[in-house]
Amino acid sequence: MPTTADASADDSPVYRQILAERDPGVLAAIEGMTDALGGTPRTLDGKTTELLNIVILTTMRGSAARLRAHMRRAMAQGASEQEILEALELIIAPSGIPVFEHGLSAWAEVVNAVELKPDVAPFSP
Amino acid sequence: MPKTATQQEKLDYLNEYVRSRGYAHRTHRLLANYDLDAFKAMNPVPVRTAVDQRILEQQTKELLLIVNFACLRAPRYIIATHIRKALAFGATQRRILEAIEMLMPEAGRTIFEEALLAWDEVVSRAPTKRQEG
Repeated sequence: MPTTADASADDSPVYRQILAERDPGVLAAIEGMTDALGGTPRTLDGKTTELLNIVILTTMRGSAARLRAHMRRAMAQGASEQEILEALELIIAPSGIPVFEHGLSAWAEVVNAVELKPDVAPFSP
Repeated sequence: MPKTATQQEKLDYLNEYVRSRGYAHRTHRLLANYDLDAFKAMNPVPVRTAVDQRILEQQTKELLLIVNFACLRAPRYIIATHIRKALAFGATQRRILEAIEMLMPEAGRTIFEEALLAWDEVVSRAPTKRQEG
């Protein structure tokens, strides 16, 4: 059974922790940009904004913690587990299976996905 | 030994591809002509994940594909194709621009600028200029 990742830790990415201590001016500039572009609802609704974040972060191989945080935010904005899975499946053809697996792994943790186990031994005839 | 496709079979398959997608890029035109079996084997994945209507709206899927192709540094014409498809599915120019702007924090200015140029190419040729809401 997969363990649920700590949501509060996911919401505090490492870069933010380091910059808060070492270069708060740059952190403030980054947060001002992210708030203006994605944090404040504009024409795009919150759910679509989060699905876009998930696809961008998956394709750029962003950290699993940040992916999980955006998936939780997408669900808080009304996205279903299946909609997030569809968004990830959408990029299989353009991006390849390894990119898809990166997103799928985070999704599985967020939704507590249960793997179906085969009932035959591996390599059995 | 695989059966060699006739030119008519290749053309029929490519035409059907264009009818279902609205386009055929050079990759598709080459595969149709030189390895139709491989083209046929690849096609069901995007048909199931992108073309078929499931839960996500077509417009949303096109916005997601625009940022995905941008992150992959796809050629500008591919990004432009999906911008046109998003418009055809009802996305406003402004909505597409906002999706592209979301590339800045996570993918960086180089990727953002290429997508922005694709957007500008499409909207500057569109009948309605970019002021729409």
